[in-house]
Amino acid sequence: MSHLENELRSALSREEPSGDFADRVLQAIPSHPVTLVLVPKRPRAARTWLATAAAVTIASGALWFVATQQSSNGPDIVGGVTNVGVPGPKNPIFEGGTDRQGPATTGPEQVEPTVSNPKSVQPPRVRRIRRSVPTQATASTREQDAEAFLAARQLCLALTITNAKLRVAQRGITDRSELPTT
Amino acid sequence: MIARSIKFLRPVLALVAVAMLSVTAFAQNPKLRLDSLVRLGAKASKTVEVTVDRELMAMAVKFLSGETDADTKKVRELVAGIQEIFVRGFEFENEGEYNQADVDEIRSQLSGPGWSRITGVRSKKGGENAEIYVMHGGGKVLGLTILATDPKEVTIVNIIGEIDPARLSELEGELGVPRMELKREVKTAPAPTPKTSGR
Repeated sequence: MSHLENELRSALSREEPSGDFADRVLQAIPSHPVTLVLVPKRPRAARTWLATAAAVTIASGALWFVATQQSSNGPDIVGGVTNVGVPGPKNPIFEGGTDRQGPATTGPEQVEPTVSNPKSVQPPRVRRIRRSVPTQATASTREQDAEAFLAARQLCLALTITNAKLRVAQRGITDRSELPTT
Repeated sequence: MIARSIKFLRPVLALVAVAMLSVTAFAQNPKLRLDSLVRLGAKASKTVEVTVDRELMAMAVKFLSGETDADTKKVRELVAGIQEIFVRGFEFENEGEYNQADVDEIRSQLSGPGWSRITGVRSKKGGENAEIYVMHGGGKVLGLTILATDPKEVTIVNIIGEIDPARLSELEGELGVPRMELKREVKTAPAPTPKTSGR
């Protein structure tokens, strides 16, 4: 036991360093400072969320693309009217129109709604859309104004037909309500 | 173990929910597919096609905004919520020239999600039928469709956007929308004039 104790004391006893110890330590230090950056490992949940967000973005983009494609595949004729009639007492749309012959026309230039004139009532008041064009307007501005005017007429025509068909439904409801009760 | 699987399933469930919501929103489209009406156009003797798409609507609204009279203001207010209008009208020479199957394709779209029929009028006497469908979503009107048929005529009006049919009827007689005569005229034969002999 004493032998063991002596060995332990000699092993754990303090030893003074050599004289050039400090110089050797300073020489071992690198000239450029080294910055240690601890990069934590990305957690598994974050990777999953990133993948999910990427998938959602791709799916949304695909849906938007499909929706855009479908909305652009509209009717062949845009703003075109082949035969237009006039709302009248019997045939709200096709009175005064012509038979369909030849290719369908495009552009609102063919629209010219006229109004039937029954004898028993006063002629309907049809207001023409008028817009004053300044004399100094350029050709392109005039063209835009003309296109806007025709677009407005197109819109009015669509509203006219819609109104006519609403009247058909309203008339049907009115006739039902006036049925005599026995 | 269970907690790990739940954590893994959470993003997958979120993805599935987003996909389902997208499909539902995509399905509620007030714009009808009118391609099948080409068959009607081939048989019809007269055809009316009026299309006011977003571009034309914007131009029309821009034009109407330049007018200051009260009538135009009413029209402007009416069409403020409308995005597009499609009108297709077909008139036939004789009765029975078109099949109900041609129109049923449109009806099948109107029986889809979102559409609800608010008015249906059938007249056995004159054969006039009129159906009005509305699509609601988010507490507002997304679209309106009118389907009017009689033995010789089919008319479909598809409006995308908000429209109040009651306000439309108020515009009668203004801005090129002529007045309609509701009462039918009763034509009476003129009394014959007596002939006088020349003796």
